[in-house]
Amino acid sequence: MAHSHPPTGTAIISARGLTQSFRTADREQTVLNGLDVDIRRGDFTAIMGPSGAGKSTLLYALAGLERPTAGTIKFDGETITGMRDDALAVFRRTHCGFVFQQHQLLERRSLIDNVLVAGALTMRSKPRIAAKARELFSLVHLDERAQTRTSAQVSGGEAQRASIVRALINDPELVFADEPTGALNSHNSQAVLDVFCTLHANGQSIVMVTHDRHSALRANRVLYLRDGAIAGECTLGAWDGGEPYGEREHTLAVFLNEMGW
Amino acid sequence: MRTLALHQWRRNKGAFLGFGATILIAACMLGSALTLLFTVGPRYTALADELHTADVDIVVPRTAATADVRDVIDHTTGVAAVDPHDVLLMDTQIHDFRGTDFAIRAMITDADASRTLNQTRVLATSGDSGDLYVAQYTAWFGQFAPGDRIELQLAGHDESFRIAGVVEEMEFGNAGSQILAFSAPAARFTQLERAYPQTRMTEYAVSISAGADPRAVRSHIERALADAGVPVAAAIDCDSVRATRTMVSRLIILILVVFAVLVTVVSLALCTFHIRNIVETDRTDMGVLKALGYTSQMISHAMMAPYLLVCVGATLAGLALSTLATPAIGSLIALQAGFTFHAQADARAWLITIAALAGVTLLFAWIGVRSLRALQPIEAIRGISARSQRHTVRPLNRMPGNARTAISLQQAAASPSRNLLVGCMAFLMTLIVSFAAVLTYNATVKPDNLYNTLSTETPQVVATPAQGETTEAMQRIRAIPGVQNVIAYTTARVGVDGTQLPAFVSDDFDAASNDIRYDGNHPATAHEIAIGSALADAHPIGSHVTVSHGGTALGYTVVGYIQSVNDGGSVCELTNAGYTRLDQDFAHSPHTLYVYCDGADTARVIRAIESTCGDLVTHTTDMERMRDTSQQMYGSVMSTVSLAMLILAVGLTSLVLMMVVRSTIARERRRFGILKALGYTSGQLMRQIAAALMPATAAGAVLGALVAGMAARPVTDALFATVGVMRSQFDHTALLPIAAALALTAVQGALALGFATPIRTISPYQLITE
Repeated sequence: MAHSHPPTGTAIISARGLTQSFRTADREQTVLNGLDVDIRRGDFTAIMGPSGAGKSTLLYALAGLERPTAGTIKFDGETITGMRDDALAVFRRTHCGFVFQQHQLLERRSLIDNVLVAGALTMRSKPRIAAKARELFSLVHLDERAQTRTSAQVSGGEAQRASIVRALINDPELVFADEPTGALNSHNSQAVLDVFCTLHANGQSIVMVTHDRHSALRANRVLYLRDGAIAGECTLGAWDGGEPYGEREHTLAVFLNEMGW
Repeated sequence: MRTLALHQWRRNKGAFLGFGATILIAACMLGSALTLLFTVGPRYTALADELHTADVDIVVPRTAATADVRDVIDHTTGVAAVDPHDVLLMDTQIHDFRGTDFAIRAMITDADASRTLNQTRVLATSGDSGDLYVAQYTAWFGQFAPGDRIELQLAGHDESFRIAGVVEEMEFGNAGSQILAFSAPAARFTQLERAYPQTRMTEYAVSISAGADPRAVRSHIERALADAGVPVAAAIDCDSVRATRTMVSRLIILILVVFAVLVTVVSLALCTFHIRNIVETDRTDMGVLKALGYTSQMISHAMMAPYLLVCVGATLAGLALSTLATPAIGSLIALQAGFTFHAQADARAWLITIAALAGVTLLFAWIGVRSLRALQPIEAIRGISARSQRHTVRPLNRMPGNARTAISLQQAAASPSRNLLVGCMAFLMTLIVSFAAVLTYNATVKPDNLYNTLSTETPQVVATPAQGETTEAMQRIRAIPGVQNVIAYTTARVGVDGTQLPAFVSDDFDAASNDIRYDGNHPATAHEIAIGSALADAHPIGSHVTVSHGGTALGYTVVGYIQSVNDGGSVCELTNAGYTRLDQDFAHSPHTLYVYCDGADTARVIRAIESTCGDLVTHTTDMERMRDTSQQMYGSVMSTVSLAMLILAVGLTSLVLMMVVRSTIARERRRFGILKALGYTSGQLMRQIAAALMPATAAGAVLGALVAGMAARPVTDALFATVGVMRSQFDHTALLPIAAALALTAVQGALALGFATPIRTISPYQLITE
């Protein structure tokens, strides 16, 4: 993807002292506990951790979908914590793309319409959005016939690939993916992960929450979250498109073992 | 099933309360209307029977009331009994009658004379002396009380009385009979007889045999008396009087029923819409229930039960409320009708209201749950919506406009049932608001329109010249600065088809300010006549009609039709020469002069007439004051009615929109969550919700404005026709429905935006993860 962004390697997101608590009926539960983290431009970052560690909470907080209880998040040096709701919405449409575990496509609307609805946030011309969408659909290998179907009429993998197109339609600097393969079979998971790798190879910054080590292998950086804080970090290097086993898998396995996975 | 029904209630309390509120309003209106329908008529009949009210009353000058007259009446077919009495009948002005001078004929009877027919009952007395009893219409409507002084101008002379009491009177106790009853103690009555000998009459109160038609008997008597050359000063029948006195109650009942039906339709449409929404949003739960073994019927009953219970509860509450509203409406009816009426709850009205509202609620709720039967449990559990498979929304690339416009239009077209509901509501509300606007405009902005529609010719000043001074008085009044015109316009009485009726006599009908002609022409020659609407059916234009006066009966050619609400359409117009053919003395007798000037100049013009024509004019009457008072009264009544209609329209609109918008948010929370996550702001989504309703609203409002533009005149004409108006003088400017449609569309847009604000309080994270 062509961006005129600062060089890769610099922090696109810096979170400091990030705390997130939820009040339930009888107690207050702290999910993120003074967490510090930097997300680097051009990285495909995977966030792993046990259930309840706060992976999705961290992802949504970094993306401006959830307000942290305490701490600051800076995006390209601009503090997004404390922004009003509408400013956060503008921030998300300008800088972020989202891929959810359940594709979260709008019902009763075709895949192409789902993409057009997102594209309309930054572009007014229907033909312009459609042309760009077609380009992205070909990137994720979805043909025109599938594009005109609704999410209920296509497979889970096709729907998830359409949601990736929707995430990319506004040229986001960062794509957030929350367990994007969690609801898919192995074949569809590979197809979706291939798309992410292609995007990353093209320079797209990606943050992906996953509990699947095969998915995490596609990332070049793995963060391990435990008890609401970053417990460790592993660098894998860029995915070269080869067999995801060998040294890369070994490195990740050692790291995860150290983390108690 | 009980658990399911309770679950429905807990989850959709707001919707049930909204539905209950509309049913409550409808029940209150319907209950009041039916209570009035079932009680006003019987109360009238009971009072009429109790006071032995005559079926027909014939009033003949005392000098003509010979034994032969009695004989003629006795032998008329259908007459069962006759009760003759001495009375005084004369033109009267009641001063300060609700703040104005009220002109009407007065019939004064001897309060101490015993009667078998047309008895009265004393409702209130001054406690001590007094010399005039007034009917309760005069007391309540004219704002007089026992012990007050009442100033009457009797046959041109001022008399002052102290009101001895208020009586119930069912024949002449209301202005609708065109004669208002008064009674005086014997001594005062005798004194008046001496003072006004020319007004001495005999009233023949007639009861008819069972099965006879009062109108037919009256007509037969009038014809027989005319054939015998007996002048009839007044003739009325109980059916005509009853129709006039209960006119307001009939109109009120009609309006209440129409509005009750309207409110009920809106609430039932809401009920159906809401149930269908629940079926759509809770389809997974229902699929699970079906999979567990619940039948469609069990689930349907559980969904319908809360609606039925809410309907019955709200109906009972509405009926309870109607027990407060109905007496208030009843007192308004009593005020206009002039008889004692205290509305009380009626079991039949309650039963019919409950049965009707519960019945239609069941029907509409059943329509709403029909889709449950087709719900396949496995599809529902898998989350495959039959609706989402069958009804995909129209693709964006087929929508006109740019991307954002196309999205708005796509949303607008996404729900035909919602659009139907919102469109129908906009249509109905535009009709109501347009109608209210027409009423308000013609009653307050252009008050002459309503006044002229309901009245006959009304100048600013009426001047009565002295004998032989008509021409000179007319010339001098014309010369007064500020006087715009003076015409001779006298009201005489003639007989047509045996009925005595007012004849407007003038050579200047075209110069009158209120054109009461609704077809054909005014008379222009001595042989032409224009007749009132009540006579129109029997006498087409071009036909000949015989007109009598005294012992003279002559033929005239009908050249046009005129209207007169106060006279029930029984009037006619003749030229001076035309009336002179019947009454040779008319040329030499004083003619009434109608003086026209700017309304604000009236008092000054009256002073000028009195100062410059004091020797020529015996009396002047300020008609402008009467017009102002009446217009203020009409204006305030119409404004109140219009305000009530406006409140009802806005209230219903708010309720429907609240339900539609809230159910949209509830049903599409996930979609809004996704869109918020993608970067749509709350404001954008709120505007999207409001914009999605706009095409249906605008279409309904435009259609409503078109129908209102086309139907407002026929509807108001039809409404006025019920009170005898053949041609209303209302302005039906196209701007009013257009303004109503624009205003309603704007209000709906603002309300929809307002009701969508809860979307601000929900975070996209919550919406997605829910």
